[in-house]
Amino acid sequence: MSNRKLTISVLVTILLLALAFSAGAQEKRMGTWVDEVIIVEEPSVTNAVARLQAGDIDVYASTSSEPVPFATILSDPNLDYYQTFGSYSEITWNPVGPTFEDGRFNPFSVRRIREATNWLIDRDYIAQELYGGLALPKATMLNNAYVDYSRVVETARSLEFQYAYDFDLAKQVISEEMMAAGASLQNGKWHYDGKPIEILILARSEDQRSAVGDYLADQLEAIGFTCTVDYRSGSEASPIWMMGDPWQGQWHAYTGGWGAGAVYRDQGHIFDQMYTRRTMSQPLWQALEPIPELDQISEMLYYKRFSTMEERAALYSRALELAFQDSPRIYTVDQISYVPRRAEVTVASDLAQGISSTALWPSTLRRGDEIGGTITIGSQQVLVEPWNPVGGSNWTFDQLPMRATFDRGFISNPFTGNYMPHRIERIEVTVLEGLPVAKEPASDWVTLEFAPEIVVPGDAWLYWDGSLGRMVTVAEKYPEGLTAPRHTVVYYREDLFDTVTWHDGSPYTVGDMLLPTILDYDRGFPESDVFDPAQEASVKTAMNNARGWRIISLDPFVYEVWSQSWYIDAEQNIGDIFAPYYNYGAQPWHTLVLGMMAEMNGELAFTASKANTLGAEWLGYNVGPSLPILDKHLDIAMETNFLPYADFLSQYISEEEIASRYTNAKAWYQEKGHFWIGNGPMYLEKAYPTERMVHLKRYENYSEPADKWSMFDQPRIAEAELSGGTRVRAGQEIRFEVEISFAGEPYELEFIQEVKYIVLDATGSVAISGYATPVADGLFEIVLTGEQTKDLPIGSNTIEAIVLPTLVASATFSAHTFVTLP
Amino acid sequence: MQNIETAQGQSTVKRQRRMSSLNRVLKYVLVRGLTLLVTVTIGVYLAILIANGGGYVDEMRKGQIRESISIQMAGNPENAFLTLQERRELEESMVNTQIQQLGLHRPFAVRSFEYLWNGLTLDLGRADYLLSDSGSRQVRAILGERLGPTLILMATGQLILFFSSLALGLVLSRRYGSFLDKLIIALAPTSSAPAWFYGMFFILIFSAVLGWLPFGGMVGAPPPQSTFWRIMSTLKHMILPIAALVLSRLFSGAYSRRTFFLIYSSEDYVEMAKAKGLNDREIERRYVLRPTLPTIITSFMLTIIGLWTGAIVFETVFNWPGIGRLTQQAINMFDTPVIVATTVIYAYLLAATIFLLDIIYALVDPRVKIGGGGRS
Repeated sequence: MSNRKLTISVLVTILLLALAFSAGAQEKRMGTWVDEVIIVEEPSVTNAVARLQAGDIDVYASTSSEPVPFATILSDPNLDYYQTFGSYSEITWNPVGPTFEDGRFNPFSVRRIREATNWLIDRDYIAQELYGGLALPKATMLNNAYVDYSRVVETARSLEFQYAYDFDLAKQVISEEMMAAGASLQNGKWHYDGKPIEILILARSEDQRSAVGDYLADQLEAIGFTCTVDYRSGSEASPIWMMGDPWQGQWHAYTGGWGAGAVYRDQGHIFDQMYTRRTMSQPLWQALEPIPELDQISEMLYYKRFSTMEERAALYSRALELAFQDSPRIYTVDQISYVPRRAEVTVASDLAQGISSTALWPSTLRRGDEIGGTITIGSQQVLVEPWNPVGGSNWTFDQLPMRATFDRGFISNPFTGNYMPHRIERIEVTVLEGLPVAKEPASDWVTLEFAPEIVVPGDAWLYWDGSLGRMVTVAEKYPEGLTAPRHTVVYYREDLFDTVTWHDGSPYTVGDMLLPTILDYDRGFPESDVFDPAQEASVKTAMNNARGWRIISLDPFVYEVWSQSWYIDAEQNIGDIFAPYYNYGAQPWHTLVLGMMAEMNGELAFTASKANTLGAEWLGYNVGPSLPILDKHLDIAMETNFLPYADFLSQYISEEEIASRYTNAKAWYQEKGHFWIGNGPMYLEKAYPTERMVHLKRYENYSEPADKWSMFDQPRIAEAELSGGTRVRAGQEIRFEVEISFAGEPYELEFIQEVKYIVLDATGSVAISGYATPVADGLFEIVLTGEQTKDLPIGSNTIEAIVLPTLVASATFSAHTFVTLP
Repeated sequence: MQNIETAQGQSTVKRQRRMSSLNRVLKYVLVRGLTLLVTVTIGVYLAILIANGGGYVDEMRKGQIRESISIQMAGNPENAFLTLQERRELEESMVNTQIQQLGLHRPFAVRSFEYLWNGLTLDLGRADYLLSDSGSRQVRAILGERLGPTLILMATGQLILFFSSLALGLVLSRRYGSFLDKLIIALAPTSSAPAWFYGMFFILIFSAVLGWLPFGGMVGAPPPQSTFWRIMSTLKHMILPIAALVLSRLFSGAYSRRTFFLIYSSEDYVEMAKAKGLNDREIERRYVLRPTLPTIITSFMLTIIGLWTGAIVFETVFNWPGIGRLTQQAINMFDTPVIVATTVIYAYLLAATIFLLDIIYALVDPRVKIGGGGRS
């Protein structure tokens, strides 16, 4: 072979190798698809949509329900959006009476009148006209985007029919009850003791709830009441409706609203919160007089006093029925909010609260198939409060950038709310026999067992005692022995300590788990140098509730925890000390120490309340006046090789680790100018407080592949179409088909948990219910046998299919009407 | 001898007159100063009462604290293991801690005078809720960070507006009845729309449609690291707001100045000067501009101190991190220390300006004399 040929061959080989290597490198993209993210402040959704159209921003992370910008999004092919379902609206009634302190009659003290108001309001009208279509009618307190709705769907749908808009019925019932209470209708207006009855409606002024107040006034006027609408902001209204004495009669109705912070898996506590005196201590709630059965069931659901899911569903169904009869509040709509984005950009968005509520947004954020590049995210606010993991900002606007910077043991599924393992390999859950705990079939990382008794070993740690300066064991506190309803063994991945590093290059170690755990308790002890009075009561509660934990193995890291709390989803019976300050970010032990030193010196404080007490600044690791103070303490820590709680922690943290950690932090601070050191897929390059911007960059040493969570780039909410026969003779068979799809493609059978059906007669009663049979991907069949149809009421009936995929919590509904002939 | 006595007498009279003038000036200064101080005190205290709704805001804050703690406790499954009484005790303890930390356990009447004293002595202290951009609770830091951006934008805009409307007014007064004069008169009513209104249109045209200029903010994203490019980026971001600010007021400003100059141009002493044969420039400088100087200076000084307050809606439309937006946030959050600080500083600036103007008037306008009622 000539030299020339040899040279060409070598060059070709190098080229091929380079191509192969680069292809391989592309496949192994780690962490995030994008190189950089810039978060900028944009308070107005209208402006945000204009900026999206102009390509000035790529995603707007704040949710909105304003109809006009939404119309722009729908009309622009370059724009798209994600939906969220976390907020809902209601009307709260003042239930005291029959008369207020000044002798005025309160119609809403009468339970049947409150119940009748369900028929008085047209929820479809409110959703379509007042909310511009960005809402769904809501009759029960359940949101159909959450799993509890599908668990009791038969009852829920039946009640929705039963309490659908019926003005005449509302008028009739209210008239009967008003007459019975001694009121009289004079010239079309209700009077009591010779005076007209005036209804005071407190309407929230910030959003569509002001229009709901007007609508409610119109409806009440139409049945003879005289109404006055008082428009107030939330903070102005709160002292009147929530904190004021309801017996003073300052209001009759309040147009309220509530929001969910996450996709709920279990809303069992809601009845207790909404219908009884137990959960909320405000005067309004203390004036409630719930139906005794509702009160009892609410308590059972709150304390989970049931042993099977069937028993729970029965309690739940009954509570829903009684809630309508009691009706201290009636529900109006589930709001549909949207998260606007450019069409070519995808990102995970939580079904309850959007992008900022999911840890998966940085990993899934991508522009088409592009690798690298910069994406600009708009946010209603940026850098609201200081970031520190102990007691820093919990604003959703701060959570957005924070969530990109720290890692977790498990990830919350943004579409179902259930947990998925991340740094955790697997868990073994044992619960007491008789508890209705179950796991999803696909959750092979969870082992679930039941035991007649779960005994906590005496050598397990219970809590850190700040007065003694050491861990207290179970045997010390409970010499007679201790049991718990739940025990979980958590196995972290074997590569945990090899793959997880902090952004300053420090390897993740056991000290990063132990120091936050100690600090959490220590702050509640008056003897402690880091005592925070605001924590004392909650730490005492935590100490009483503690049931013990123990490290089984340091590497690989395995620990077990016993707990009083348990959840119906086995996956959620988890304890994660990998990221203990889940809501506020994470910090390595060596920067937490700097904060502790500054707090002990009275210069900074982890919480706003203690900062106020000390007259010191609230500690922020990201930006601001805390940074030079932390740097000063870093110098001191470096000089002394300082380790807090050294008697305990020195067993886990070596002298070398201490020195190298502080050196790394110093180098990081000198380069980046801040101390926000995380371990997530992105790191904080710089925060610009006055300009209101945050600059995040991809962390190249992040160990997880970028496509690990790519299935969450969009929620696969099913579309369903129910079709079939239009008439059947009683006693004959009739068939229906349910076509299920997503983005025009058949929905795979493996991702459909179940397809329920209910047949409702003309009165809204459930005549038949059952499950559809799978036929093929995207196709289910419902067969009503002759046995079933022979008992159907003659006339018009409606069959509804309820499709519940496993990939999202949202159920999809489709209805079809048919006639039953004699 | 008589001459000497007469001279001594004249000297004594002069000295007495000087003393009398000094006394009058001192008395005037004292009375004026005290009057302004009382006015400032009343104004600030009224601001405190209004900002706190006469104490109603305390109830709102307590309600918010209890509501947030109740909801937080309701959502915490760990609380399911507490008895009802334990839950209530825990909640009360948490609520009381927060109420005490914010000082809401003390009567508002007492705190209102503390706010007043701290404000008047410029002990700005700590904010209740607001933080500076960099995370400090110190009101001084909160205001300090926002003052710079407001001054950069508003001072540039207002100074351009002030001098351009002055110059244009002068030009129009010289060309009374010309096409330009008629055009500006015709355009003057357009100033009834505020600057933010023009701003929205400018953003729509130059940012959304043409894409030439940024939608808002103070600097590009991410902010350039080099000082030069950072300044360039800031200047680019200032174009639209300043254009909106100037355009919104230029025509009415020029029109009013032009009318003002025309009125002064038709005074008898101006006619007399013309009759004496003085040239136009001399007449304009000595007989038109000088008498109008006090009014122009007043307008200029009020413009300058007006910068302190920023512009709430204008800064919001352009997403500009200035004092105006800060004031809005403070009002929305009922952050009394910040509201008091912005009010008291403005009140002091206004009082000092009025005080200074009184003296400047005496210097520049021969028709104005201090106190006494005598004529020299």
